[in-house]
Amino acid sequence: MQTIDKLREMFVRIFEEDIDVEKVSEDTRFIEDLGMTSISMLYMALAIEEEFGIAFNNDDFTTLRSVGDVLARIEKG
Amino acid sequence: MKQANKKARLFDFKRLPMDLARLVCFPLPLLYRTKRLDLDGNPCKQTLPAGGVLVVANHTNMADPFLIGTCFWKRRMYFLAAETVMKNPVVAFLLKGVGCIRIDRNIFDVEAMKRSIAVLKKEKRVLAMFPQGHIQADGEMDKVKGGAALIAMQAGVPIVPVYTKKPAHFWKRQVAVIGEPIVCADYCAKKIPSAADMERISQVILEKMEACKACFEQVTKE
Repeated sequence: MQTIDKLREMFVRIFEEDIDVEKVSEDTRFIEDLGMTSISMLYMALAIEEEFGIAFNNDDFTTLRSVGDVLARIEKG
Repeated sequence: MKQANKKARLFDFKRLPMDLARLVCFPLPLLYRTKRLDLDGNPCKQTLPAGGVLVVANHTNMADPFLIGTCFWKRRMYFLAAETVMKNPVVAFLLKGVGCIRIDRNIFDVEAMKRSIAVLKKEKRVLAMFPQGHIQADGEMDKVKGGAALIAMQAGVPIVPVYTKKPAHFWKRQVAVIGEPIVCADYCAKKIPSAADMERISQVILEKMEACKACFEQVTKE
């Protein structure tokens, strides 16, 4: 399974019907397109850490704006 | 079984600054003469549940952390402190030593979240926070932000709501109404809660704090 599909699955679990996962692509921006709040972002970060075994820091969030950014960060490890 | 309810030991070198601060604050209960009440307005017999506990309280003034500390003085407490309080590096250093966790409300402060969850989940300590995120001097209840629910659910710990307000006159005893612990699992049985579940828990926290406020007003006639 591709990383983006894993992310989509995770979005379904976390956000249920609030987010249309079919529309989630690498260009999708969290705040502007998915309407995420700061708490949703933090929750997503904690879930990604658990799922992919990476550790975010505060500086990451200055650059993580879209799904593509998260995928790149996961690849980076 | 190891002591789950981590009461203060007399000497704990790792937490020396925190214990020194507790020693300095030792006379505070005499100053506040805090009356701890339960939701029926009777003296509160309830102690905090064993293990990690998240204490949530309304925030009416800068002395609130001391008051909350005197309510649960038997346990070592950590506090979530806003970035504005810890702006000065010297103050930040001291506050960090006595158990404050800095949270920056202007960014996605994932590090503060992780530290808070670790304090509750791994260290099994008491963490106190003011989930409205700002001082509300008149004691009115504002919206509860999602951080409290997120921390409690991720750490899997109960939430204890507290309502307090500065008395009208300094000679009056300080009153703190302590609600029943909120167990998140009672409101969301899912292993991975959704964002909507967290919103629901935040609403429950607000309702329980409102109940504490109603009791406070009944007792103090304020």
